[in-house]
Amino acid sequence: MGYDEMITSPCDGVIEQICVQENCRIYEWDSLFKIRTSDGDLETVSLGLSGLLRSLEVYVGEEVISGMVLAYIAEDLVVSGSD
Amino acid sequence: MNHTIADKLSPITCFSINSTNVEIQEHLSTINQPFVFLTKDDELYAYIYLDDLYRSRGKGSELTASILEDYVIPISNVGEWKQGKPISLPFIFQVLGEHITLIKNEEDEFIGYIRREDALVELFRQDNQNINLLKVMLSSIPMGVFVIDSDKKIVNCNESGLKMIKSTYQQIINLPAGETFNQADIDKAFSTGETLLNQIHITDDMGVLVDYSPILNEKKQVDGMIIIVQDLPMVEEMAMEIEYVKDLNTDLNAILATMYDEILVVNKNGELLRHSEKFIPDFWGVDDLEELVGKNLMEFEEKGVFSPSVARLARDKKKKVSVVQQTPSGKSVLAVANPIFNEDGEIHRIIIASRDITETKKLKSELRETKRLSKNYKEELEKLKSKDDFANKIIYCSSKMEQVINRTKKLSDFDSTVLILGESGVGKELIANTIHLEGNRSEKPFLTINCGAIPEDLLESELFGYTKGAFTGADAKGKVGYFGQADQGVLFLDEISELPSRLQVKLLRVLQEKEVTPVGSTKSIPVDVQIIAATNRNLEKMVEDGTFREDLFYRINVIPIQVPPLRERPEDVPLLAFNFIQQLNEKYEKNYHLSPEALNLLEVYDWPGNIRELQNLIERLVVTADDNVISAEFVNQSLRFGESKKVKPMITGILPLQEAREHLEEQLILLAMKKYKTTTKAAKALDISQSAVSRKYQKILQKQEK
Ligand SMILES: Nc1ncnc2c1ncn2[C@@H]1O[C@H](COP(=O)(O)OP(=O)(O)OP(=O)(O)O)[C@@H](O)[C@H]1O
Ligand SMILES: [Mg+2]
Repeated sequence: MGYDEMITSPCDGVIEQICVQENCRIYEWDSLFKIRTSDGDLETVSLGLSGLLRSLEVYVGEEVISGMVLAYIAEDLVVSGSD
Repeated sequence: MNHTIADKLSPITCFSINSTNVEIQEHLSTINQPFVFLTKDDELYAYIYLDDLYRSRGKGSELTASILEDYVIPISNVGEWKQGKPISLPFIFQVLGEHITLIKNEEDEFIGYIRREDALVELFRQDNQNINLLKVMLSSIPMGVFVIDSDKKIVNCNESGLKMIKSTYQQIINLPAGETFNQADIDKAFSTGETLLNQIHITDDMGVLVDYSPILNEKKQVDGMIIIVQDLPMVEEMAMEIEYVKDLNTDLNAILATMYDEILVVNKNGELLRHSEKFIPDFWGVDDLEELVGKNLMEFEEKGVFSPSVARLARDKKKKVSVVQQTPSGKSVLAVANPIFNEDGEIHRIIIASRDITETKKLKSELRETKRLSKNYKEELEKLKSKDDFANKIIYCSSKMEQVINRTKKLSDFDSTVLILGESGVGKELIANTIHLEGNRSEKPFLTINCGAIPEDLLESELFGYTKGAFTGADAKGKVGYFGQADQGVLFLDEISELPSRLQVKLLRVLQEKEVTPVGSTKSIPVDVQIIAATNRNLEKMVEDGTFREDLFYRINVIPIQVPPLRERPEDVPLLAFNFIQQLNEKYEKNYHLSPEALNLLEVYDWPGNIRELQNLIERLVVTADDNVISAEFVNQSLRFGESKKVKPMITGILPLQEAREHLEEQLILLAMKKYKTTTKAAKALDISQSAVSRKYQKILQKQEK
């Protein structure tokens, strides 16, 4: 069981790398996207939750803005193991 | 015949077309009328309009029969007006179409002809026949006809027209046509003098196709207008459909409103075309979305009302875009913009569906916080549990075990190598664990490796580690071995007796030099590891047999701990049994306990599998028991005492036959002595001599003393 959570862009910039694929599991510590910000910095997007990546909403090279949905995730509701 | 017709009546002058040219000339010269009639075979068959002939030929020119043929008009074209016969509408048109009309008498004989003007005058004078000719004409047309005068007022119309506009003659006559039809179209036709065709005119109660056809006078001025109206059967259907679509729209609106808080439709420029009834207040800064219809939403972004415009993104990217936007009052709104393309692949519309996710977001973060907390609690609990864990607690009351425990406690403070000896299931691993936990290395790692469970090559690299590229299939980065990993901690080498001789050498080196050399490396790495080794085999015997290195044996046998088998400390059995049952009761929320007789029975049993066997038995009993009280009988069944008085010895691992024999003999003697108390009785049960029992029993006791 999971419910949909979305990953939004924290900044304006261009998607430089997508480290995940649709329908794959993601974990709290995974970095999911790398965004080159308008200032030239590389921002890594990760999410403090684990679940199933339902859909990718962006592609590499796409311009994104702060708040834009990058992906939808079916979040795990169970407490994941501490190991 | 009416005298007025007679006044206008002209006689029919005729000659044959077969006349000679000279005759023809003669005939024509004598005629003083504009029309001459021709016969063929004595039949009147055509006439010639002489004005026509002379206009093109000249009056005095040579005229032959063949020239005349070009000007003849068949007599069949001409209307025949018979006295007393009612006049039909087609006849009127026939009169209108030809120069003349032939008049017949009651005997069906031609008596002359009259000219068109005269015929019409006569026709319209004939009110005695009660024919409103114009009316007949109009009503016979299957379309609505409205006649408009120069003041743009309706002056006449037909029945079909009235039907189409669902009105009556009295209601509309003399009314401005613009009240019924399209004023702009009427004005246009009046001012340009041009006909407007196929104008669709739809009002609440009619749907018609209208032609506006101006009537021009000789000076080409618009004198009035004929409005031709046609029914549009599909217009009715369209109206029905519109009604249906309206309904559908209401339903859709209701459905969408439950899923989204606001839906907007904008065109490719970003101008708002339509919107849902429901909307997110405070987002646009208006009280009603209606105010925004026709406005460009993208401009709001430029004005800085909010950023960013999801419509602009969807338009620029030509794909679905979702953005979480913040309203001035701090609401979070998820807006999803979906572009809709036309057949040419260009953006036609953009649909923006928005949802207020403030509450959802709040709940989600609360949920996440709760999750984080419960995870922490879970970890805390786990720690508490393991602290209090029965599994790690050594249970005993026998003095033999007390000695063992005292010994471990003493050596815990030292880093000396420990060798734990004892049968399978006596708790060797548990003791090794306790040594680590009680010792000064408890904060450092405790690693266990079972020397008998891993193939030699793997065991070597696992124990000592390897450098990169040491062998194919190895981890590219190389690997730190157990010694390295257990640095400053404790390494428990279980089943040390199974260590292959090559590795025995290597282990000896580590123990002596306190450093390891990883596989594939020449460099040794210093290590600080306390070694605890364990075996259920008789190592001394193995050294004698040459299967275990003597030097290594002495190296690890610094502090030996002999864990006595359970049968040598039967007083521990009830306590252990009680504890194991307690654990299970807690786990399954049950309330089982053993009857005193059952406990007695367990005490007598010799437990070849030691505590592990007891633990398993208790679990089996609890799982299969029907009653809270586990009876001796029930235990008996599980232990299979009852099947045969002679319990079959149970061996749980491979061991040398001689060793097994010794074990078995010891067990048998002890069991017999426990049960029969005297050597005589025991000898009888074992079917050997009393002196043999006595001798063997003494030897066992001595061994146990050690
Ligand atoms: N005194 C004891 N109190 C409580 N539980 C014990 C005690 N001794 C042994 N056990 C339990 O019995 C089981 C077997 O113990 P352990 O694995 O330590 O035996 P072992 O001597 O290492 O056996 P083997 O030689 O077969 O490896 C374990 O579950 C252990 O927790
Ligand atoms: Mg063990």
